[in-house]
Amino acid sequence: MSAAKEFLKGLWKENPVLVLMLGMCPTLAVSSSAKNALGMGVATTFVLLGSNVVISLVRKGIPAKVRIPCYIVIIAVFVTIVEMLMAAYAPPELNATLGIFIPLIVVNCIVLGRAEAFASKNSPWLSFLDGLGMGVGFTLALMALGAVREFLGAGTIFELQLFPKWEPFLLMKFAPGAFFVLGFFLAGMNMLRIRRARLEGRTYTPPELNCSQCNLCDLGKR
Amino acid sequence: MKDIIRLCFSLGAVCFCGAAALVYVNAKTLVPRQQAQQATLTKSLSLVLPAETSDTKTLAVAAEDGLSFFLASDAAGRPLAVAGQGSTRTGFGGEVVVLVGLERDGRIRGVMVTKHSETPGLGTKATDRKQLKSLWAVLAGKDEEVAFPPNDYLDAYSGRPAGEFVLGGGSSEQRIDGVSGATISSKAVLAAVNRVCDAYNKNRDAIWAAQ
Repeated sequence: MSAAKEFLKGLWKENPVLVLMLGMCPTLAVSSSAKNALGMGVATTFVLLGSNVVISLVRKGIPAKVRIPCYIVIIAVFVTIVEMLMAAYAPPELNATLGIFIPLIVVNCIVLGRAEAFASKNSPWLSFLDGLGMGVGFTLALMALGAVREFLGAGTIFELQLFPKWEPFLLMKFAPGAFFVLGFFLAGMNMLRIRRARLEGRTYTPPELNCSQCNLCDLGKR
Repeated sequence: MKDIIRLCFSLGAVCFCGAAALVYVNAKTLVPRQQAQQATLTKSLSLVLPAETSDTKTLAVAAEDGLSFFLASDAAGRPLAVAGQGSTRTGFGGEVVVLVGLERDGRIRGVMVTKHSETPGLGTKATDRKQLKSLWAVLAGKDEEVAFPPNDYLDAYSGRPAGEFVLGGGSSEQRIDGVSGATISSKAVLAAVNRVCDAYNKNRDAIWAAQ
């Protein structure tokens, strides 16, 4: 079923953070705790859904040469609308936690990347599913990173203390710690892939990270 | 040439529609946003002012950009305490707004930060009042919501006379120890509190006499 595939690919096979390596900036900055990760993930998913659908709806009307500025305008408008709606209707608790992350979504490469690579070439329904899958995959990856970093860095999970006395591993609170944990995650995923390939009787070759996959600029075409 | 006109027109059309959508949403959410802001202000005031407060009035005295005072009175109309809201732009992430509760004798009741963009987990050690709950207590159903959770840095101001605070120096009454690893955030909070205290001391009589 093609529709389910578009959703599921964002969760594992083409996870935006762990496979496509998009959105590294918010990943490293926001994954310092599981709660922040969840908040950022949900907000990003929302924007992804909206921008993917809108860009897919107008994709035939935008000339190719100005498509990137147009997408950025649409994404920025969407993020601002989400920001205003949250300030007006969201409970103050939620606003206090998520408030600073919302403007950061505009510069999240995942949103622009999916708009360019998928939404500009597919129907609104498939774009919606792609955005949903990518958003949920982003949220899950971020939460996994966040849980590890929060546990090692502060001894808490979702800001609930597990042990009364905990020596914090301070490195985990900063970006280098995030890189370390990310590296371990990627190593783990590769290990799983190699093992599965061996069970299926083939050897695992890591994907070619050549520019032609990306589409955001002309580098891959030369 | 025709190509360029077409490109400009398309981009212009997208920008125009985007702007129109923003104008619409802005107008529709203006009132709810102001109401939400007012509600948070009321809640913050109730945390730094005494429990017997039945009416809080925004004062015109000493009001300037980023500085305002509120007078709390009890049911009989007697003034109980004052709250001062001050802001600085020297926080790590920009604006930091503090709310300082003040007694009649000029002693600080409590300090809380109502607006900031400090780094979560680092700068927020100097700004957030977070209740550290234990997972086991939550699972056992024994967690209670504390209205005014402690913060070592902010609590250091409580009970001090409203004066010119200094980070890590000065006389024993002026000295406040900053949060290690969050110096800029600590300094910003200090500057905002100093601003409020300075304005309070300059206009003390006018503030308490306001009706």
